[in-house]
Formats: sequence, C-alpha cells, structure tokens
Amino acid sequence: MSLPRRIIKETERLVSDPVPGISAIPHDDNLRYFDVLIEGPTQSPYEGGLFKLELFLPDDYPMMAPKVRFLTKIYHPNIDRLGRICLDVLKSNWSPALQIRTLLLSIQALLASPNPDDPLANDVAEEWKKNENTAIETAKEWTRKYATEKS
Amino acid sequence: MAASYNDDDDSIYLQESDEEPFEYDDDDDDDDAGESEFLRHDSVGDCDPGSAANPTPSPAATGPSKSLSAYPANNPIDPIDFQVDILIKANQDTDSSLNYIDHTGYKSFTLNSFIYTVLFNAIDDIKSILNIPFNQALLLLVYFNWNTDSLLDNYYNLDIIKNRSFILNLRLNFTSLHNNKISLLKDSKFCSICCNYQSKFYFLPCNHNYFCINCLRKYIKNKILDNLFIINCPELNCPYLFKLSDLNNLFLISKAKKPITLLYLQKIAKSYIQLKKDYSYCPAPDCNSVIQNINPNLTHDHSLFSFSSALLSSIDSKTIQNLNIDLPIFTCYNNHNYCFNCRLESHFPCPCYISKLWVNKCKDDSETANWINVNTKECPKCISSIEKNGGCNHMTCYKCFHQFCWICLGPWASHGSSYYQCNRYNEDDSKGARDKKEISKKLLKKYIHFFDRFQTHEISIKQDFKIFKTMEKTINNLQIKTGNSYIDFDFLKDSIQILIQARNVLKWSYCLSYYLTPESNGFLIYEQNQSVFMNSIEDLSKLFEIKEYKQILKRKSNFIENTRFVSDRQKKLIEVVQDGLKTNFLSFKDINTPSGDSSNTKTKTKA
Ligand SMILES: [Zn+2]
Ligand SMILES: [Zn+2]
Ligand SMILES: [Zn+2]
Ligand SMILES: [Zn+2]
Ligand SMILES: [Zn+2]
Ligand SMILES: [Zn+2]
Repeated sequence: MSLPRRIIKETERLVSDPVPGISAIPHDDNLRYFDVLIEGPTQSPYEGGLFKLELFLPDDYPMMAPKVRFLTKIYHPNIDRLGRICLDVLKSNWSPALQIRTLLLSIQALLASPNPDDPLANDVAEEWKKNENTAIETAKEWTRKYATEKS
Repeated sequence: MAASYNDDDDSIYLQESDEEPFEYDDDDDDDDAGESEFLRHDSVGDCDPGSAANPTPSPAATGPSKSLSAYPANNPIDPIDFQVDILIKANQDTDSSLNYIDHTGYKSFTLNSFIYTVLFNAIDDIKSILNIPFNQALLLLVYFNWNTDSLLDNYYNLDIIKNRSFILNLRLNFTSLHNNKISLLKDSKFCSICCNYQSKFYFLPCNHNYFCINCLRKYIKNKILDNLFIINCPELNCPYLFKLSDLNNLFLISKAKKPITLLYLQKIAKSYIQLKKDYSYCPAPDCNSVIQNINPNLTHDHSLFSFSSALLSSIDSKTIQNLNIDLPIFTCYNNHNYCFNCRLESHFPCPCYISKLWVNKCKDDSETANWINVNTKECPKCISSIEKNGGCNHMTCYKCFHQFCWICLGPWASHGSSYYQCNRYNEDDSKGARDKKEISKKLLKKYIHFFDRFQTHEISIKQDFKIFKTMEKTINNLQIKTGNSYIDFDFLKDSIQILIQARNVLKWSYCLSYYLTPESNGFLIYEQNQSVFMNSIEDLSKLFEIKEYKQILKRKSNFIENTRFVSDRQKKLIEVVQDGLKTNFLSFKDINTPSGDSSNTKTKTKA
C-alpha cells in the first residue's frame, strides 16, 4: 500500500526542518515506524538526558493519534513502567489537525512540567506529591543512569 | 471500521453509500421545500411559547462574553427538526404499533421508535423550557448525560468553570444559524489533513476552511464510532461544534443506505440507555429492542446482581439466602424473553446470581464436560446404540423395546414411583473422600451430574422448538385429513409452548440443585417436586410422539390434562423455591468455594 501524501509531507518536513531537541527518523522498511529521540528540557530533572521513543502511525492516521512510547526508562508521574504516556492529545484531544511534530513537542513539554494530579504511574505520582525534592532527585538519577550515553 | 486512509478514493469512508457519495446541487429547491414543510411540523411543538417557562437570561449568563447578549430571543427556525423527523419516520419499522407493553411491566421499543419518542421528548422538553433550538438542546443533554435536573441547574448558574465554558460556547454556536454548504471550488485547494489538493470543501463559520469534505467526513464518522457526540471543528481549540444539520449536509441522505445522522442518533440513544437505570437492551443478537421498566415497584437492587466472580466472594451467604426469585423477565418487541437484571435468558427458578455463577462455570468447564455424549447412548439392556431425535427423555429401545430414562439410564417403570430419584446426586459418594484431590474429583462428578441434566433439557428444548415451529403446518395437515376445524387443534399450540417453557424451568432447576445445600430441610421437598415436575413434562412430551392423526384427536383430553398438570407442577416448584429461600428452608452451600476444580481459579484470574 502506498504511503498517504500526508505522511510523506510530514516526514519530509521532520527531516528538512527538524524541531530543536527532537529527531524523528522513519525506518527504511516501515515508513510508518519512527525512531524518536527527545532531549531532556533544560531546567528540568531530565536535562542532559537523551530519551529514546518509538512512534507508529496507525492505518487510520491522522484520524487516529500516533502510538508513542518511551523506550528509555524514565521517572515521571505521567509515564509508566512500560513507557506509556498519559497525555490528552494522544487520547481524547487528538485532532487530525495535529501533527507528529506538535505531538512530540507536547511530550517534550510534559517532561518540562510533570503533572502528578493526572498520573499514569501512581507510585511515582504519589512520591511526587508527597516529597517533590526526593522525586526530582530520583528523576535526575534515572536520567544519569539510563538516559546518558556511557560509551 | 478501520478504513484505511486513502488519498485518491473519494468514497472510501462511505463504503455503504452510492458511487456518487454526495451531490452538489446549485439550486436549493429541495431545501426550500423542506423548510415550508418544516414550518408545518414545528408549529405543533412550538406554538405556545407563553406556556413554557421562559426565563430571561440572568446577568451571570451574559457576563463573561458580550456577544452572548445577542443570543436570539425569538428562535430562528431550526431546519434540522424537520430533517430528523423525516429521517426517523422514513426509517421507522413498518409495524403500526410503536411499542409494546408485556405482562410483566416492561415496555419494549424498537431503537428508532425509542429515538422518536423517549429521546425526542426529552429534547423537546429542554427545547421549550429554555426556548433554544433542537440541536442546542440535544448537545446540552448529551453534555449533561441526559440529566435534566443538573442541566437546568447549570444552564443559567455558571459557577462551575468546566460547565461554564461549554455552555457559553454552545450559546455562541447558536447565536446565528449558518447555512453551511459543501462548496465545489474551481481551483483545487490544499487540504491540511490529507495534504492533497482537493476541490470539495465545506465552509464553516469559524473560517477553518482548509479541511476537504472527505477528511471532515472521516473525522466526524470516527468521532461518532468512538461514541463522541460533541464534535468540535478539527482545528485545535476551535469552538465550532458540528450540528446535526452539518452531518446531514456532509453525508447527504441517500434513500437506501443508512444515513450517518441516524447512526449518530442511534449511538446517542444507546448511550442514553446505558445511563438510565430503567432502560435496557434486549441481549438477543441482532435485536435492537429497547426495554423500559415501567413499573416503579419493580426496582431491583442492581448492586446485588451486577457482580463479577471476584466480587461474589465478598457477598456473605446471608445476603444470598435472603434473595428471592421474583425475576424481572421481560418480553421484547421481537418476543425474546430475558432477565432485566442479569441479561440472561429467563432462568426461573434460579436467582440471578446463581444463574450467572452457573453460566460462568459452564463456560469454564465446557471442555471437561465435553465427554458427555449428547446425542447417542446405549440401551442399558441390549447395548444397541440409541439416537435421540425428539425432546422426550422416556426412551423405548427400537430393538428390545426396553423402556428406560435417557438421563439416568434407569428403567422408566420405576420413575413414576416416589422412591425413585432420577435427579438425585448421591452425596454419600463424596463423604468418604479424604484428600483434596478426591474431593475435587467428587465435586466434578457432582457438577457433571447436574450439567448433564441441564444440557439434556436444553437439547430437548431445541427439539421441542422444532415441533413448535412446524405446528402451524401440522395443524393444517390435521385439518385436511380429519376435516375438523382449526380450533379443534388449538390445544396443540398451547401444549407445546407450555412444554418448552416448563422444560426451561426444569433445566434451570438443575443449576439450583447444584448450588443448594442437600442437608437443608427444604431440599428433599424441593427434589421431590422437581421429580414430579420432570415426570409431568416427560409425560406431556411423550404425547407429541404420536403421529397418527386420529390418535391425536382421541388423546386430546390427555393433552389438555397433562398440559394443565405441567403448569401446576411448575407453579408449585417455583413456589417451593421462593418460600424455601425466604424461610431459609433452602440455602446455598459452597458458593464462595466451589473450589477444588482448577477451572475456578481460572475464573478468578480472569476477573
Ligand atoms: Zn483532505
Ligand atoms: Zn474551526
Ligand atoms: Zn429481542
Ligand atoms: Zn436474572
Ligand atoms: Zn434395547
Ligand atoms: Zn431417570
């Protein structure tokens, strides 16, 4: 099946005019499957980290939201152990007028401002609300441990 | 449903529609005709604005947004009222009666007649109370989950921020009536959703006019299929809400196919039914009947019935024992009988929770029980293979003429006597059991004993049902052969229906037998009644094996007597159970722990 023009256009633009701090590159053998890298926003506990995600465009994209998941372990109240993300634009607030680039920007913004009141990872959210400083320390530690190149 | 996103195909999302999915019509002849007819229609609903409560907007309502004061005091005509009306009427079933009340206090509708009456009445109420257009009332009701009180409390009282923004936006959306239309452009334009150059666009008053109509259709249909009925313009944060008229414009009604507007209303109706306790669907596959509980005395404690197997272990046995079995059985528009509470088939004399428990158990144990051979058994005397082809369980071997019981394979002669217990499971067997493994083996044996009976009668019902289905034909034949009148054979129809119903009660009584405590005082009485009931059923069933027409007429009084006897015994059995459960003469054992057999741990992990 040929790739819809919409996806071609978006991919072209992602490559030619990338969003600062974000890269999304489609697989050669599956142009609906993207390797995504997001830099941790400055002034956040994720600063200095480079987070790997996978993004998949379902058959009915853009009517349906892309499927996105963190592959790098991350300590965040809205991201669970499996890397699933609790973000409104990925669910009910998705609109076909949104794009991959706007979606990834929203995810980056979520890293900058975690929302423990709408949690996906309950234990993390609890810690975040009870003892924010400890939670931020843990998030920094996880960033160092899992999201920085060692070699 | 997951239509692939295809750039080139205009009609992909309207697979059920014509090749020409929409027509662009430059002159509006059709619309004008519609409007004048609409006026006629609307004069019925809105002729008396004075009588309706017509509160002036409070200052709070006009406060935050100036433009709101412009919201029309005099409603412009809302053409959708007419369109919907026609739409529903066109799709209404041909039956002359719109709905049907059965003997148990349940009212049954077709889905479309439900939309036309219940749903539209609710919308009309709000429409006239608030003096707002039909569409606005519809969206308000959807937003407030069809809770009219909360809607009216909140409509002018805009303290709750979340509600306020919705209500204000909704009012804004209805300040002027737009005449949105599909436009065919001379030069094609870039669609920002499919990224193609397209020539068919739908112009929205919010001026977000860069979505081609195919993309808009896909977008809207996706929302509806997702049960989202408040549909904004796809542009991010745009407050424009799609109206029924937009849906009608975008998905032009074609006579033969199911219009999207109807799908939209049907989906809304289904969400309404799910929200309201006194409404339910008929669970039969492909039956769109809606059931309303119209008897206020028939309020059942739903919390007790909507259990899961995980929850069940927390119900204490006293609660269970106190439950009676006044079952809320309804008959739907298409004559299906179901229980309003647990949505199973009619399951007298079993209480809902026991029935559900049983059904789940049977599902889980179906493999274990599969070895039960349902269609052929061997004659206990001469060991010839006997195939069963009627509903009756009183068998006569075709070879040695030995009469035996299909279920227990015991001689039939002793079944009539009171000491013979075809239905009894010998509990003594399990008393000697020492270790757990042995207990579980015994439990399985007990289960299979009752399941066998349950299943046998289920199969018998199917066979009896075949007799019922061909009864009309049979009677016609009898009439021709005997020269008697049709009425002379009417008893056959009554008999077969009562037989089927009685078998169903008997069938479910085995489920009850499995869960009842055999030690309780009432159990023996119950079992005896069950036994007498079973014999009465088999006696009646046997009569239906008579094929000789003269014999049938000769035995007419037997038919009538046996039928009456079956009815009496059925009534008696149900009474015994009802009274027994009320007085604790009958009680349940091992509800929480039909443990031992591994299948039950499976249920728990599933839940
Ligand atoms: Zn388009
Ligand atoms: Zn808009
Ligand atoms: Zn039905
Ligand atoms: Zn029930
Ligand atoms: Zn025999
Ligand atoms: Zn028997």
